[in-house]
Amino acid sequence: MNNNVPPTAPAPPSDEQLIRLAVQNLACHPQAQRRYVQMGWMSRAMGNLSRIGEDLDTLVADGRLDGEQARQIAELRTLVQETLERRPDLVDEAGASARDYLFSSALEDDDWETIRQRARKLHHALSGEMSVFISIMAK
Amino acid sequence: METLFIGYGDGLVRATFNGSVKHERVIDGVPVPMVAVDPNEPDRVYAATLGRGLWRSDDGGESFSRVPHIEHELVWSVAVSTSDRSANGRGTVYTGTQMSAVYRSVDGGETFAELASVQRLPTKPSWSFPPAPDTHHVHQIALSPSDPGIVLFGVELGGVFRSVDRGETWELTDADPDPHTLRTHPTATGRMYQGGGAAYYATTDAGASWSRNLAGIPEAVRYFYSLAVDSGDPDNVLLSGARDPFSGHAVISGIPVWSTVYRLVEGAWQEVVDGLPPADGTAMGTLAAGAPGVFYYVTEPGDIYRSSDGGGRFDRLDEGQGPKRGTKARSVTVLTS
Repeated sequence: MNNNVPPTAPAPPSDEQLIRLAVQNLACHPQAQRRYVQMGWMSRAMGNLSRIGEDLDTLVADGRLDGEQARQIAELRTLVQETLERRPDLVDEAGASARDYLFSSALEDDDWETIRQRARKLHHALSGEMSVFISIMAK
Repeated sequence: METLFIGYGDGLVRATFNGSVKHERVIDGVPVPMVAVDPNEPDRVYAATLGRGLWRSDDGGESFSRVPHIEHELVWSVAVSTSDRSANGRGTVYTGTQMSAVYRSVDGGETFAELASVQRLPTKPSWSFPPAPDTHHVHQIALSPSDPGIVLFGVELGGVFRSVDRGETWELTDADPDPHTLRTHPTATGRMYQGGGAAYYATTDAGASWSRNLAGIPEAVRYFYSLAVDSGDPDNVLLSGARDPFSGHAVISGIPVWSTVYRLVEGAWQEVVDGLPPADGTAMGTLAAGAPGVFYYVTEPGDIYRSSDGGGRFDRLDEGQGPKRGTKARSVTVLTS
């Protein structure tokens, strides 16, 4: 073993992977989404969608997204941003205990359902006919 | 002798236990999430596969052939009724697919027809499987052992639905919407059990009403998957738990793997530590019950543990020199003869 070589850190996820993970988080059933809120993943998903979605041209130019996928991502980004402006507490746990929040009806309203259905359609467009697990560690 | 049908991520293994374990790989190259044995004719075995539809054996699982009439390649669940028999003596068969559909055979598995009632359920647009949220599937099916009309199916992730008329109409139950495991009991016929994504639920009225019980389980453990019920004691239940899906299934690098097994003792859960692998570093395996007092726990990499004292203590089985077992254990079905 060569002790002079430092251990290799895992490569950070690419913007394409982070977008796919954000879409997956936003598309899930509410019970799964409440768990993602507790883990801090939902806010991160929205942040990544906002940041990466600002400029999708590079991903399209690199062939990692097609034009239709980019258009749908931009639409979802706008929808989430507009909803957040109207409802800054969109992912607020409101002081509930972890267990109470998980079994609550949080995220089960018309705004969230609109986001979910839009994200679900996009997830299908990103994953093709056979959806596969997105197994990456998000930032 | 006990025969275990262990569904893996890459096939089906038939393991016979008679002091030591002998493995035979009977389906190869495709995930097998569930196996069901016809209780009325134990040589008739059904295997759900994720990619090649539903398969059937008439020789106790030595050989399988594909069942016609089911167009779906992705079949997640299958169950055979004890109480509802066809003219040929075999049990009525229900099987569930991705995207979600339920098929029924009323001639003992010879032909299948889809239950159109499932497609009309009003909550269907909200169903969604988290890792692939544009999909959903019928993950579990449970049949009353005493009332042929009572059928339950669970959508991952969309709820547990109950019929009292053999699947003609359905009602959404108040069980956990994430139905990882549904079990019945062979003699306590109103009892049913659910290892849900977020909690354990049980019913004493054949699924009409469910109650949650997490007594004794730490707040940090919020994810549940497999369960098994002692065939000789309907109050003796084992349940696998993890901190969350990511610690339980080891699917995302960088999140520590942790899972454990709990036993229900006088209404509260106690961790089973005697003989099982440590929680740290262990992904969720799959539980099954055999003869009264006998439980099996197959770990995710395929190690087989057996308890003969009702789940108080487990021993790892000597697996001898059999053919290579599978990887990523998904289900265990036990046949005692």
